[in-house]
Amino acid sequence: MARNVSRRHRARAGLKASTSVNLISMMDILTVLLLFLLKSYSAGGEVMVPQPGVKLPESTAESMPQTSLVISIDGDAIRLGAEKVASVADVAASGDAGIPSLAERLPAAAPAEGAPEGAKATAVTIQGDRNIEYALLRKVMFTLSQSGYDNVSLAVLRKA
Amino acid sequence: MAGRHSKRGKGHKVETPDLELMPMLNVFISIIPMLLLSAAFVQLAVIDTGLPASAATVVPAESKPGAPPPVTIHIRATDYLVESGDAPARSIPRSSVAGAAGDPGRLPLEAMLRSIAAQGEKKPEVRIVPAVRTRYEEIISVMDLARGAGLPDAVLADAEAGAV
Repeated sequence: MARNVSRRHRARAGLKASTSVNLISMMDILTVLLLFLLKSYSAGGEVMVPQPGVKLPESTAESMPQTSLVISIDGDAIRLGAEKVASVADVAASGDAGIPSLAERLPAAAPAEGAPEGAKATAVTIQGDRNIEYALLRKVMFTLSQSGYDNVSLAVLRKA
Repeated sequence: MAGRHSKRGKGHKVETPDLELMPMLNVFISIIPMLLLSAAFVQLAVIDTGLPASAATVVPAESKPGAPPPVTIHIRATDYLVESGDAPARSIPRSSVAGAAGDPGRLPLEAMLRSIAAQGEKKPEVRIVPAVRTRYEEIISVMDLARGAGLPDAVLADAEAGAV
């Protein structure tokens, strides 16, 4: 009814009907979304993504991750970056203090992308599944110490 | 193109200009999917820790000038064993079945660590000695407890002499 009145009014005034879509509300939504996304980037530090299959433990720690080599340990495999270097079952069954296959690959491991020269060359971050046993973690850390990686960080999910 | 909308009043024309929003909209529509795809919504943090050394072979803290004696927490299957300085070791029953969050030993352990932290201005180092079957989540949980109690320096240690 109101539209008819409005159309008649426009026709009487000799104006064409406006066909533009009202985009203001859409712009509002997009602006809020853009600000939210930009804020999530401004947190700083290295953007580290948990490896698939690894359920990290939660912690109250607040230190931001730095650029480093990443070793992930889930229920099945130990990975250097994305490459599988050992099976968890094999490592658990072996009587070695370290993990020979990991030790072989560590010297050739490419430095993390964006890592500065020198200072952080021995930094490594371990992404361990929350259910792995300390015996396994100890073997990984022993191998790291033997290979000269003495700056070890444990990755955790930050508690909200 | 959003045109000008004009009204005819008492013999004069009022123009209400519309903003040209399409270019801005195009930019937004290009940027937002890119940001959404590359954003990391899971917030990760790290705990810096030293490599585990044997608790038996670590240089005694007493030899460091002014440093308080370290606090050693053994995580065992049924209890936490806390050693601090010359005080006798104290045992706090725990349950490893309930998971880190449901462990009944958390609160008493935290209270004990708080009392240790309150004893002096300098905070002692905390050495966590897990059993071989201790889950990673439980180790992180004890590190959190120590940090929450005011003892931020927590390192892993190994009970077996010379193991690492």
